[in-house]
Amino acid sequence: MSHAITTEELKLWSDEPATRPDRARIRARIGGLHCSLCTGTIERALGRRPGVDKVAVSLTHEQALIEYDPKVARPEELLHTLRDIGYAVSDPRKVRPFEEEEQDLVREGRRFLVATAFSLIAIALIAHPTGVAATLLPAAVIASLLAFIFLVLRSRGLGVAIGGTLLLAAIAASLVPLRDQSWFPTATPWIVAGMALILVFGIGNHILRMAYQALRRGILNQHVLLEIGAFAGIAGGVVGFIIGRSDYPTAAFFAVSVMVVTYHIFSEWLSLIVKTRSSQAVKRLLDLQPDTARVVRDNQELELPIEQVAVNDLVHIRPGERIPVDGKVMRGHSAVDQSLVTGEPIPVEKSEGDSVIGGAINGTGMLLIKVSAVGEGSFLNKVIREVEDARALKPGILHLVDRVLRVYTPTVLIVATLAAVAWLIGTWLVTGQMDAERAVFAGLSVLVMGYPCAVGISAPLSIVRGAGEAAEQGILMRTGEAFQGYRLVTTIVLDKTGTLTEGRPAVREIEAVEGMDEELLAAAAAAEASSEHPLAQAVIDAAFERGATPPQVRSFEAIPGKGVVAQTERGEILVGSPAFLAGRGIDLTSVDGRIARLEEAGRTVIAVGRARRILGIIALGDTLRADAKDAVAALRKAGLRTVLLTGDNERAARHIATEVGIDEVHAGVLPGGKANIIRQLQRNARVAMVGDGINDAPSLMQADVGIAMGAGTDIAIESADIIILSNRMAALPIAREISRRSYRKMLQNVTLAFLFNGIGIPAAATGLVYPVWAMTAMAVSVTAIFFNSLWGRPRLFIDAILSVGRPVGDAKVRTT
Amino acid sequence: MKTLSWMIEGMHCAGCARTIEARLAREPGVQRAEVAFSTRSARILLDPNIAAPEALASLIERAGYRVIVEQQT
Repeated sequence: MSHAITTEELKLWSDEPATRPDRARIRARIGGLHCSLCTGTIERALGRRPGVDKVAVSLTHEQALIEYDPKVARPEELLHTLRDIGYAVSDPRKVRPFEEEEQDLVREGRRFLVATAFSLIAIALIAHPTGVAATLLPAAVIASLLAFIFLVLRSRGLGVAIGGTLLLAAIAASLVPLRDQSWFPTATPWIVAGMALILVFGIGNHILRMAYQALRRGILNQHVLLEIGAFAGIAGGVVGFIIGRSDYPTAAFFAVSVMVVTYHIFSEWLSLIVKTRSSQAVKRLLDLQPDTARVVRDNQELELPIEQVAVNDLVHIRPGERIPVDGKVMRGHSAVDQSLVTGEPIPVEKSEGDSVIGGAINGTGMLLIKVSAVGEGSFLNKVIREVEDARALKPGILHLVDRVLRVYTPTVLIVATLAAVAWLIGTWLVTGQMDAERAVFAGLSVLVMGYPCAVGISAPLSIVRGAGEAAEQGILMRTGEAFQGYRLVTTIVLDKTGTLTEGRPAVREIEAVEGMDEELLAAAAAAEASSEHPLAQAVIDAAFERGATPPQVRSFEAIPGKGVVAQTERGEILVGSPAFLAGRGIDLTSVDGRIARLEEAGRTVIAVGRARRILGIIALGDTLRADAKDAVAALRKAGLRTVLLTGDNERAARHIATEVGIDEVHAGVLPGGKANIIRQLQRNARVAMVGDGINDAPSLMQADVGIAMGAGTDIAIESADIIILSNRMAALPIAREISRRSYRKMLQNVTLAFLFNGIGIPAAATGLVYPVWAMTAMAVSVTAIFFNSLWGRPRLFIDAILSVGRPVGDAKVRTT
Repeated sequence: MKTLSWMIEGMHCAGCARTIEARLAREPGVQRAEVAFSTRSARILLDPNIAAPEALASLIERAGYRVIVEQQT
């Protein structure tokens, strides 16, 4: 016997800080989650274990977070429990490589090709083209199967697709002349039986395993229902062999097994396409450059990966660079843009002794910093940890299909049993003898009829449509939450800086004491143009827009953090903080009150003086996005409560909230506090969060639906369900409309999927319907769903299929 | 400092305008540049000590557009 590998040898979880000191918390990645019912099962199974306090499972991210008493429970045992009920456990720190996703897709495609070929042969063998209906139906089914083959092969080139399709069509057609051979009627059931067995136990082995695992967990999901149908088909065929009557549909029963497995594999392939496509779309948005830092060691500058930087290392930061680590400024001064980290819109001047946060963007100065924290202790890592926490605590949603199946599957089983029992009793009452053959036939017919094979494609197809429509509007909807959850949201939380506002300073008010506004702007722009002040560009932009040409500067002197003195053709100009001008002997009493009021409103005020006299003041602030007001109004009109959540100060937040008409304000929130506020809001409502910064990531993950701006930080994009590539606020109500529309489509599709089989079940219960009709129901419902989902827009579907499977580098889109 | 106002011919769409804008903004001495496709016009704020208008014009012409110098303020 080989020695079993235990979890002790391979540590397959990561330890997390627990909420209480006497508790431990672990995170594990779970494989084998086949449907949304699984989360509940895992939570129940682990929750029953002694010592376990809290279990949270995320279906989308395949992760579990377990909090337990380390004195009572051990992580190895807990993970063993998961294995026992058939889940795979893997290390959460390992990321699934891109190639693996591709391989999955290729493997699933191959399975589907074989299955479809089998189906084609099966139908060609059992079809009896004797009347109009009997000719048209198999012909329609064959046509749809050929179309599937074409689609699967399409991504390998048009030639391959056409060739492959024609080849299979030829094989199916070549079977027709064989019908006249004398051995044909006897051989057919055996051939079809062989194909059914290969498909169910060989090619569809993975489905069988999933169904078995689901049954053990007490879940009746799609896979279980499929296997019930497939096995009923095989059983029906076996019964046929035993009876050995020529009018019994032995081959047809086997053929149904072949068909249901084929359709199921097709839906698996389609779901995989949808999943891979959205994950690739997100990867294209991310800045895949590894983070490095320029570390000074032994008077040499080395470019090192972030992981190799140690506390107390000296790191050089060039102008415009992202600050890679937390630290303290040792030399140099620069304005640092922290808007993505803290939500503060105006860059902050940093000089010797000030601390800087990793993730902020350096302005125009060179900085030398001493690293104060790396790895676990650093700001970025804390955020990542919070995102992980929020990921597991995110409220899950039961998918529509799973909700229906929870009722439908037991119903089918009960009806099948009832049909069999009724036939037994009925025949006994009438003839005095139980007709077991009829009873078994009726029961099996119900089971065969019961598998609504179109159900598997109903959700992915409506997502293909919805995602396509969203993409046209510059919206990337990537998860089930985006489609099924956003429409249910009643509260929408908006971040301020970079979401409601542009996230960069602009000139808001100009007050000239002497002369024209343009003259004031021109003077300020002249001085600022030579400095590297963080607000300089905003002033120059304003001057340019008003057509004011700044005077020529002869010489200038910048006083870091205070202001600039410039000698121009029109005299000496001073630009800087009011205190700086006052310190240089300029009388500001005429504008004092005005400055105070502007600062009260959250503005940054700079004063401009010329020839020892005050020229005027310029107030700068973050500007609202042009469509922010309309978007908020549209969201409120749709019945959503709007909430502003920001790390910026109360005054600035209130000001913006009043301006755009937001209901509720939470200001001055620390980066770690945002997710907590979302959790509080989630007690009473379903919450969507819109943000872009590093500090928004945990709350984007925590919210029922997280929405990130495309220009946002990587971590925000990764945490979001919906990404607004256009960076337009107007996309928020549009995305909600798409979510509603897609859900409606999904509902229609699921109804269509169950409808035909629903009608078929009572008919099958009579024991008078042949299994051929089950295949007809399948073909009709699949076709109906295709039409319903892609009506008018078949291109969306082709594009979806063609868009996956290409190397990422090809179409790298950056939106900055 | 100086603001130039030019007409630019040969632009096919707003993309051309963005391209010229981005190219101009990279030149040292150019503080701001704005190119509008709809009015076929360009406005450039520059420091004449660092950037020469003629050099900027030839830069745009090299990219396949024609510059018509209208007025200079």
